[in-house]
Amino acid sequence: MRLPTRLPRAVMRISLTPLIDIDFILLLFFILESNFLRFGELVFNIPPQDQPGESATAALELQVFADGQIWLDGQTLKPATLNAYLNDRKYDARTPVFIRAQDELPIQLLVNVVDVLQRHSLSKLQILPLRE
Amino acid sequence: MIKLETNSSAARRIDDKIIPMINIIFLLLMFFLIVGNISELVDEDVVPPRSTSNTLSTSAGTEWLLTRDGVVVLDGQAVGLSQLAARLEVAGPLPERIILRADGNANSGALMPLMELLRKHGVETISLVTINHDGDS
Repeated sequence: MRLPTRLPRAVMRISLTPLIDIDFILLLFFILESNFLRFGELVFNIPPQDQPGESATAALELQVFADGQIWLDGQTLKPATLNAYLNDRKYDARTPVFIRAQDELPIQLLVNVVDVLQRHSLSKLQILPLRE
Repeated sequence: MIKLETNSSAARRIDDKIIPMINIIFLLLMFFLIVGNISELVDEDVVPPRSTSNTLSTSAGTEWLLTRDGVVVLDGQAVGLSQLAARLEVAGPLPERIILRADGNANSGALMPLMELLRKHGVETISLVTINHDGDS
């Protein structure tokens, strides 16, 4: 048997190991830094002081307390029951809504109320302080 | 006849085994690049409230921050209301819409004087930044 005295010259090949290293580093970076949150926005109106607003009779006025309870039209409601309340009554989307929020009310609870209102197309919102 | 394996053919066989792994890593990388969001990182002190309204944020411009403790942060600096009022007097007119990134646990009491101040400076609407969620979770 005759063995070749010289092996054929190896074909030049690009090593994949550094490529995989960089891939892993990039992947790790994106896994750690990425978040999958989607940001939205709620729009509130701040009318000028000398323009108190549309006819007060047509407006919907809610009082929201620090524990998330809502006082509306002589009834105490929660966001879930507010939904049922609004389902029973058809409000025009142009109805101005005045939300009187207690100072200690967390913004999250305020947003929960606004979410319910927006579900009923009530988007002319104005937030005012609740003065007891 | 004995066939000797060269170094290059051995390397090729190893590479062939690695290629599916590289493909998967590339796919994962693509997924995180496309779906992930690294531009709008959430500050620990300002975690926006969750909302089901699903209105996507379209506004661009200066964001005002309202931290959990009710402190307003403007251009990276915490400012009191009186300081803020003084700064606004010096600064030019404000845009009609201000983007406010407020912490969900901040009290509405901190929001009201800020809105009052903005009203005095001609701001007509505030866009409150929220985190969208479907409402089921």
